[in-house]
Amino acid sequence: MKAITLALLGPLAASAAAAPAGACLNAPGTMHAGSLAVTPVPSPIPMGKPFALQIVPCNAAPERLTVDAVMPAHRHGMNYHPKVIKTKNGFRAEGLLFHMPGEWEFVFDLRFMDGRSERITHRIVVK
Amino acid sequence: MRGLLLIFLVLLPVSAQAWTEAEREQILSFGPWPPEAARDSSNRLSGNPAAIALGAALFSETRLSPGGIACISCHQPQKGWGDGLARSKGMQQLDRNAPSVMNAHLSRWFGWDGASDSLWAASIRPILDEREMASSAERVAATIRSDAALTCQFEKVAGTAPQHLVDEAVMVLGAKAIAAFQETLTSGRTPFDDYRDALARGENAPYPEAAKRGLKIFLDSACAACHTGPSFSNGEFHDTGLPYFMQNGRPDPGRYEGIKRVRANPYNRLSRYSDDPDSGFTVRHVALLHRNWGEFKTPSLRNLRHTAPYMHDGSKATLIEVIRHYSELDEDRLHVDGEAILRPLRLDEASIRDLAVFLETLSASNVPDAASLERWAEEARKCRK
Repeated sequence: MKAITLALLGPLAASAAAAPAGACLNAPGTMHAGSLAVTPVPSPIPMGKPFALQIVPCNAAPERLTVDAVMPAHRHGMNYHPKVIKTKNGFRAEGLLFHMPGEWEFVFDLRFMDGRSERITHRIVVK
Repeated sequence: MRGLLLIFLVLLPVSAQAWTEAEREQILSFGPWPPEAARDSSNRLSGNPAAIALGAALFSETRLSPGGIACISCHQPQKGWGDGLARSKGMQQLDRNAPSVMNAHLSRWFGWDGASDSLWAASIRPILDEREMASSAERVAATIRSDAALTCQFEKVAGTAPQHLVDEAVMVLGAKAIAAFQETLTSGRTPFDDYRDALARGENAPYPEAAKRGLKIFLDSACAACHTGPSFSNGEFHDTGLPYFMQNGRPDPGRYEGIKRVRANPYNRLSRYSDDPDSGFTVRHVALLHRNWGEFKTPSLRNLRHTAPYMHDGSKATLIEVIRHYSELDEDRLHVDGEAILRPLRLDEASIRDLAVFLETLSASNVPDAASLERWAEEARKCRK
C-alpha cells in the first residue's frame, strides 16, 4: 500500500499545482489534490485546533470517500477519526486536528459506482 | 579595521543569538502570554464570580472526603499547585505524579491519560475515585447542604437551593464551580515572554546567553515538536520512553485506558450534564490506537521551577535529570510501530546546562498563591441569606 501511495505522489504533486478543469470551486484557501478541490474550514488550517474540509470532486463524483492524514516524517497519523458526510456539491469531512507542526499528508480514498477505487494524497506544511 | 571586524563577527554567535526567519517565527508561536481568557461553553459557571468563590471554598473543603482529602491536598498553592511528591497520595498511594492545575484550563484533555475532556469532569474524577477522595455524590451534596454559607453561595450560583436538586446535580454544579475557580489560576509572565515579545517588536531584550543557546537546542531538537504553543504543550499524548511498569509491577496503559474511560465517562462533554454537547469534538472523534498504550500527556513547560518532580511517574527529581533522560533515551524501549519522533539528543554537559537554563526562563515569579484562593473562598464563607 505504501508503494502505491508513493507512486501516486509524483503526478499528484504536479496536478496540485495547476487547477483542474471542470466545475470545481476555487474558494480562497482551496487546494487542488488530484481531481479534488479541497477547502479547509477554517483556512488556513490552524495548528492544534479542529477543522473541517469541503471536498468537491472536479470530475466523476465517487460514491464513497474517506479522509485521513499522516505525518510521514514522524510515522504517525492524527489522533482523531474524521467523519465524512455527503453534501450537495460533494463531501464534508469533520473532526480533523493536526496536533503537531510540520508536513502532513492528506489521504483521500475514493470509491466509484463502477467498482473503481482511487487514492489521492496531498501534502501541506502546518505551522 | 577589517581584522577587528572579523574578530567581532567570530565572537557574535556567542554573545548575541541571530535567529533565522523560521526560528523567529517558531519562537513567536510560543506566545503571547497570557492568552486571552476563554470560557468553557460546556460549563455554564465558567467565568461566573459567584461560582469562582464557591469553587475556591470547595477546593479546600476536607469534608468532601471521608478521609479528609480535599483538592488542595494534592494541588497545593505553595507547591506550584501540585504536591511535590513523586507519586501522589490520596486515600491510597497513587501511581502517578499530581499534575499542577495552574494553567490547566488551557488544555484539551485533562489528567496524564486524558480520561476527562473538561476541567469540571476532571474535578469530579478524583472526588469519586476510591484511591483519591473516595467520596460520592451523596457526600458532596450532604456537605454543601449541611453548611449554611456553602448552601447560601450554591443557591446564589445555581438559582436554587441544593435541597431542591438531586445529589448528582449538586455534585456536578459543585465540580463546575471548582473548575471555574481553577480557570483563574493563570501564571504570570516570564523572562522568556519578555524576550519573545521584544523579538516580535524587532527589539532586543535582556535574556541570558545560556538561555538563548538552550532555546536554540530546543528548536533544533524534537522538543519543539510536542512542546508547542504558548503553553509549550500540544495537549496530546506521546510515549516518552519511561518504563511501562509502575512500582507495584503492573503496567500503566496511559492514554490507551484514558480514551476508553473518557468515552465511557458519564460526565463527558457529550453527556446530559454538559452545557454544550456540540463542544464534544474531542471525545466524539478521538481514535483508539495500538500506539496509545503507554502514552502520556505532553505537560506544559511553564513554571517547572515550581512543579518538581517531573514526568507522569514523578521519576525525575530535577530538570537536569529530565534532559539526561532525553539525551540518553533508550530507543529499544519505544514502540517499534509507534511514532518516529524521539531520538537520543546526545547532548554534552554544557548543552544540558544551557537547555536547563532556557527551561528555567519559562517559570513565572508571579504565580497564583494561597492568598488568591483565600480571597475567593472568603467571599463564599461570608455568604448569608
